[in-house]
Amino acid sequence: MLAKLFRKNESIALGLCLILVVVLTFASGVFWTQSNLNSLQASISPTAIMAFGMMILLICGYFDLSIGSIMLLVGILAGRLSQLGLNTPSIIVLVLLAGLAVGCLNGFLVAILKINALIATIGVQYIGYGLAMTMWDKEMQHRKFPANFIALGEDRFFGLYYMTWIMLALLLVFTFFLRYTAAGRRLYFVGGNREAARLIGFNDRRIVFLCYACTGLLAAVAGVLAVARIQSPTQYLGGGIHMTCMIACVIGGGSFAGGRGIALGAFLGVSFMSLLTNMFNLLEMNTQLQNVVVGVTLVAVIVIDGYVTLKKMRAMGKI
Amino acid sequence: MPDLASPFLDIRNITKSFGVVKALLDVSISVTKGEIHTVLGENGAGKSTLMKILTGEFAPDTGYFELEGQRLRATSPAAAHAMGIHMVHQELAVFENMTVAENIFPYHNFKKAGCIDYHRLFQEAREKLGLFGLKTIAPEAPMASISLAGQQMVEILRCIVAEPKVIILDEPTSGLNDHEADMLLEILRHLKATGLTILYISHRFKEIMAISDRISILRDGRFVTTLANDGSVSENDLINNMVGRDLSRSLYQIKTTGNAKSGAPLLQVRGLAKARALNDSSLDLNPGEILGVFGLEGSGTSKLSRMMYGLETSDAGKVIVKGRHISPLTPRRMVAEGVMYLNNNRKVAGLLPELPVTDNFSLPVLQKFSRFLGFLDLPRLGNLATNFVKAFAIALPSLATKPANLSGGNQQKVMLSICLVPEPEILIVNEPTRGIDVGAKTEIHRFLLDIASRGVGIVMFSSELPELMSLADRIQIMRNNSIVGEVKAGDYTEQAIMRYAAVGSDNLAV
Ligand SMILES: Nc1ncnc2c1ncn2[C@@H]1O[C@H](COP(=O)(O)OP(=O)(O)OP(=O)(O)O)[C@@H](O)[C@H]1O
Ligand SMILES: [Mg+2]
Repeated sequence: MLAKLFRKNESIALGLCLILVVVLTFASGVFWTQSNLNSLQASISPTAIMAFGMMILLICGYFDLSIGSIMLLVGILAGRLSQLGLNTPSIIVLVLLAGLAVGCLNGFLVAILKINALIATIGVQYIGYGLAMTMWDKEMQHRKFPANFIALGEDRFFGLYYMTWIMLALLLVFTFFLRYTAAGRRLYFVGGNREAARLIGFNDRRIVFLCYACTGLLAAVAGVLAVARIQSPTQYLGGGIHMTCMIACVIGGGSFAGGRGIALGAFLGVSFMSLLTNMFNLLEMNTQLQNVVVGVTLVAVIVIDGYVTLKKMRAMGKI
Repeated sequence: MPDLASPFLDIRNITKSFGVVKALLDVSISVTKGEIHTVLGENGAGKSTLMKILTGEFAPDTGYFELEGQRLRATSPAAAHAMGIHMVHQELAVFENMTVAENIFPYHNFKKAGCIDYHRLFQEAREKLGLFGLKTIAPEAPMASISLAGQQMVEILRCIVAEPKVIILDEPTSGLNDHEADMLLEILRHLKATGLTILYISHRFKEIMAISDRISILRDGRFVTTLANDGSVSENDLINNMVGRDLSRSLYQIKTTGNAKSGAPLLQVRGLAKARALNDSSLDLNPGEILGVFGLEGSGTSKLSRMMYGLETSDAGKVIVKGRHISPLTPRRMVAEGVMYLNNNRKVAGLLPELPVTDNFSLPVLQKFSRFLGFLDLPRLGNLATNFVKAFAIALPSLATKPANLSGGNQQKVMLSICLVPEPEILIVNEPTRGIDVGAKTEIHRFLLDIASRGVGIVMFSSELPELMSLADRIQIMRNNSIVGEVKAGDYTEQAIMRYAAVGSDNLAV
């Protein structure tokens, strides 16, 4: 039973999270305090929402480096719109549409024009960043959003932030989608063997396009929640978050080769990354070492995974 | 006999070119409902291209087809599926990351309350596998874990369960051994009885004669004729129409005398073994000898061939080349010792499909052909490549063509040539003529016999018994991961060999 569990790709991330929780529980007196749990939620939820998008792309065999700049764009655009005096629902609708549009642009470049995902999404990353910064002015960071906008990041329901509930709801939705719907299963077919998927009649372009569009939308959702939490836009929003998401997804059982991974894995991977940051903060360790730990974990996970796969193949007599 | 009067699928005036290559020229073929219609032709004749037009993978330059009187043009595989046309491809199209069940039912039609009903999925898959004699394959097993032949059968099953009107099988038996091929033919007869129309492509005459109602022949992209297989046509008629000339039928004359040169053995395999994969196996190869190794799928032949070349690790045993113990046993060392290996799955290994053919040729000789500062001797390489292209009648527009754009059989010829470029002393070949047409097969057989007569030792792993019996000086037979017997030239009969090979033979899962 335990062995069976361990073969599941997600169990490594689960194990890592549990270890960190145990360590933090004993080594830090403040880990279980409300304020620490709040900041953990604020760090996990938006990132996990974006990681769901990254995970569905990885399953198809693609990835998106522009999600951080979509987040930034959305944050600053929301600031602009609120300066213009728009009400909260219209701001939200408009910025979500903006995120969706950038996602569609990615999808168009990668799925329709067949531009390499690395090049296309780096291009869009720069476009998004550039657009965001042209809208930026320093004034913005001192102008708070309307109260009902900020409520999205501040208010709670049964002890958890709204954003946490949203993230958990999306976790359920994506888990269900990927496991129990024909549309969700198609992503695995495309990621496993794209040519063959096309041959059995799946529209791989449409599938990949929609995944990019969805990822753009999710990045926008995450952007709204993140700026709502910090109450005003900042130019540092979303920096490096695309890497965090990709690393989290790989630690959580995704693969750049495509064809595998589940939403829970993305969540666990992100949780690990956030708990790790939390540990370095609470235990006042040298934060530079944190990058080392992340890098070592990433490589170790891939090595372990390769080893387990090799073992399995050996046992089946394939190698 | 199906009703031949009314065409069910009417292929009309199809022309298709790839750049300067005219793959199909005004091809028209009529197919009747419920028949097994074989399309026959040499490598590169345009068979696969024609089928891919039916399934919407390629758009024809001109022409169309009619299905049940409706004029159609499939614009995508999905559109062809909607019309009821399904195809099993020459190159496997399976999903190794998914379970066997999902490979059979990728469209997920089994739902309960809007969700995929996995219980039902596995149950239906198990039922279908059982129906087609594949009980040993578990529907929950990952596709990656089952054998090549098993994967091939699963792909066929996927087309069948979609309940098509027309099913196209492009060389479905090229990866199967005789026993499995027979099983497949049985399935096809059964399907035909249910009214399914089958378009069939194969280079194996025995099965073509056994199963076809009618046979259409293509030559160089042109339609030659359609013949009814009612006893009036012979294999030779087919071949003459196919190649447009009379081939002396030297193919498959059973070898009666072994002709190994005397001298120290070239290659000695001693006690090669690995848990659950191979039991204590030894063999000797003498200069000038062709040593055949035969076994049904799952008998351990492919593991033996891979282990003796160092492609897979073994737990025990050693390999001795020309008296020298090779340790560590790696393909690199083997190449350095003059041993070359032909893989049995060109899709996975053996070719760089996206690089020009010449570059592919240069692979094993990069060192040998390097001159000053490591620049390659390109003229010499070009010459060599040209020679092989001529010798094996490889149909390709130019040496700059990518293997990905060659027909399946021509890819196989390129792969074999690559092994021969470094002029090896020892050759280990796996299914050397897989998917190769009769004409070229004769050429390849002649070539192998010729290099053997000049002292090259060849270990030949083949599932085609007639081929082995016509080439090999000795045949060793494997069963249950062990070498269980040997038959020498002179004593060859199918019965003598199958007696060793066949027991517990329908084990498709690894
Ligand atoms: N995608 C492509 N691009 C360019 N040329 C192609 C392409 N596909 C096929 N061809 C060419 O079209 C011709 C017909 O190829 P096809 O694959 O139909 O042959 P085939 O009859 O199936 O042969 P085989 O028995 O070897 O499978 C060949 O000369 C091949 O090189
Ligand atoms: Mg072909």
